[in-house]
Amino acid sequence: MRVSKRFVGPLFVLPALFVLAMLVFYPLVYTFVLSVTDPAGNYVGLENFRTMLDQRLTSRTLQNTFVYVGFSIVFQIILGTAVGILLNAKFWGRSGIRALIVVPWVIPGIVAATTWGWMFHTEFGIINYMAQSAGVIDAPVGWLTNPSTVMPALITVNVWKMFPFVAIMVLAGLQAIPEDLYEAARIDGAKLHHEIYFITLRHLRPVLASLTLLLAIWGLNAITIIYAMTRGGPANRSIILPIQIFRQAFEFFQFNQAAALSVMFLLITGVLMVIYVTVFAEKE
Amino acid sequence: MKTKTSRTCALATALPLIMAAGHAMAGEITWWAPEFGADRAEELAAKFEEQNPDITVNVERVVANGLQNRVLVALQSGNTPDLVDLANGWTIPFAATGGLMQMDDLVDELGIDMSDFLPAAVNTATYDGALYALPFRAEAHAMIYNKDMFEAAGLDAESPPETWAELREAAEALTDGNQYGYGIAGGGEVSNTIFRSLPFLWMNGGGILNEEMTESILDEPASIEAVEFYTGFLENGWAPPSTLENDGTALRRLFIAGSIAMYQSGQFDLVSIAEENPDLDVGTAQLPHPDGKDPAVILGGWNFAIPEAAENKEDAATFLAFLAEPENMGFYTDTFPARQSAMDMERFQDPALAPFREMLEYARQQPANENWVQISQMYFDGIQGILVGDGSAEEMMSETASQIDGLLQ
Repeated sequence: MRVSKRFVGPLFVLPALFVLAMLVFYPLVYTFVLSVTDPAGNYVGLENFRTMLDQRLTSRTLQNTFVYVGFSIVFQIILGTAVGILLNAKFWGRSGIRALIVVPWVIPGIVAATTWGWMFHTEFGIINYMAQSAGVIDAPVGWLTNPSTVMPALITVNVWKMFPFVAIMVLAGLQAIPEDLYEAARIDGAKLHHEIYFITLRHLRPVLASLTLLLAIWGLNAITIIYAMTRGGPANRSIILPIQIFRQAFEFFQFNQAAALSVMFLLITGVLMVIYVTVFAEKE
Repeated sequence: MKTKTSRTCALATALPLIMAAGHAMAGEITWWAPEFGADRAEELAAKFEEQNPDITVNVERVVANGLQNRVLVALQSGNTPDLVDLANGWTIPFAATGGLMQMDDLVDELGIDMSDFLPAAVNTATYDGALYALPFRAEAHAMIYNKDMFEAAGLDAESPPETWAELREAAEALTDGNQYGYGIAGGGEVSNTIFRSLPFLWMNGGGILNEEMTESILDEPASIEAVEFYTGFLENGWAPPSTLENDGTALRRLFIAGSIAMYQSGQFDLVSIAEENPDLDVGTAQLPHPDGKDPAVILGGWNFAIPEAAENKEDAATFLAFLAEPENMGFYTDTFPARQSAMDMERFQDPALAPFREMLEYARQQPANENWVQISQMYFDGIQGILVGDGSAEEMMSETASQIDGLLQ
């Protein structure tokens, strides 16, 4: 019994592929099944989807999710790129600062979020204390309880947490740009902003593109910061989709409706990712 | 001491054996006791073993946080202890899953006098007219206040407010700069706000659900008035601006720090206050009620249950009879015992505890509805909506009521 040579490789991979497929597809398929059935397992069509869409909460959740993820990514990329470019310059103490800058990213999310929660606290928080001592504000601000400040506060924490990762990736990308290009540009009379725009950013584009994708995926799935700091409050002003799914499933024990939400969530992110990938794939 | 150590060693050596066997041996029972009372549980177990040399009690210390889920998983998998402590709010939902042993006949057999138990506590263990657990601990909130602040504000520290009108007046008088009159909960876990606001709705003849639990009565005037009373403390500036992030723990910290003059909580807070700020002159009082109406409060507490799938129900029952003896129940509870005859024990005679004890007479259980978690979340979102200024109490509660009605249909 001879197996043709070109099947040997795939045959060895097959068991691993099978396990992987089970790990990926079983939960996926099971979620779909849950989303169209009731707790007793009877087929109910799109009933669970209708229930969830009827809740006024769901539209607020979607809106919050886009605001939270969108603004987070913009500021993470801008701040991270700027810091990455700065850290690429030669100055005394550079390696020390490079090490320090990754600290927010290395700290476990739950620890960071809880600490920030206390820092933002109206009564005991160090932020209000410092701002009041410096005379910036007269009365304590309820950063996490005021509907107009809660999202900016959470986005700030999310940016703080993730920008070091962007900076490190940008730094790696920068070091791959050959020095000759800058020399050649200077000979042609390029100014600093020309160098940054035409050489640095051009070469960083693939890095930034994959970073944006990664940040979007992580941002959409991240639950830690918001859950630890506000639990989605006040009055659902900071609830995002993963938190609503978590609540529906593990606090209300309505797994079918939670599955319906997850499927909608998957479709939305899926569409976004397809758009994103095709747009960037065409340009490369 | 020596014998205790050697027994522990013997147990430790035997443990893998027991586990390998996969089930408890005859004459041996496993008891899941939350860690806050586990030291006393072990003392009781030792005492019981002396009286019943042929039965061994394995006290398994369990963490109270997340215990509800752990018990649920155990009941569904059938791999259960022989005796377990349940918070009274979980008992009926667990009984509804069929995972708990029905106890009516057992209680008769063991000669446990159920008429000695606090009726509201027995209600938390009764599902479909049958008893599924034995209450052992009962508690209710009362008001805790700072006597020095009362005197500084020109109020009589020995006659705290009794009615809603008096509470408002006192709260206003006690508010001064960074000191606030009455701390209410508006953040943290949902239950913090439920325990502190729902009693006011009940006192006023309102509530979240009607008696039959078929629809919400939040949009009725009695409920709206009580919600306005509760949220009014923040709107009038008598509760701290951090209200939306304050849960029970935060309120206690604010009280210890001297930021609030009055708040409501359980008697366990008195211990923490005395430890952290022994100079504080603390007073306790019943919860203020509307003029001419009775107070009300949510009954907190714990029950003993024997799982349906327990390996050794017979010995567990013998042990249950031992635990149900008034002196043992009074020894084990962190707050008050569910048996009224055990209330005479000396540890419950502290005058500061008297208002908490009096409140027990007005205690009711939370509605035992299968959707209660989601309903209380909706109610909590409505309260937070009022506190952030999304709408008036009337608008927000009508909207919440219609959401709850949608869920109950």
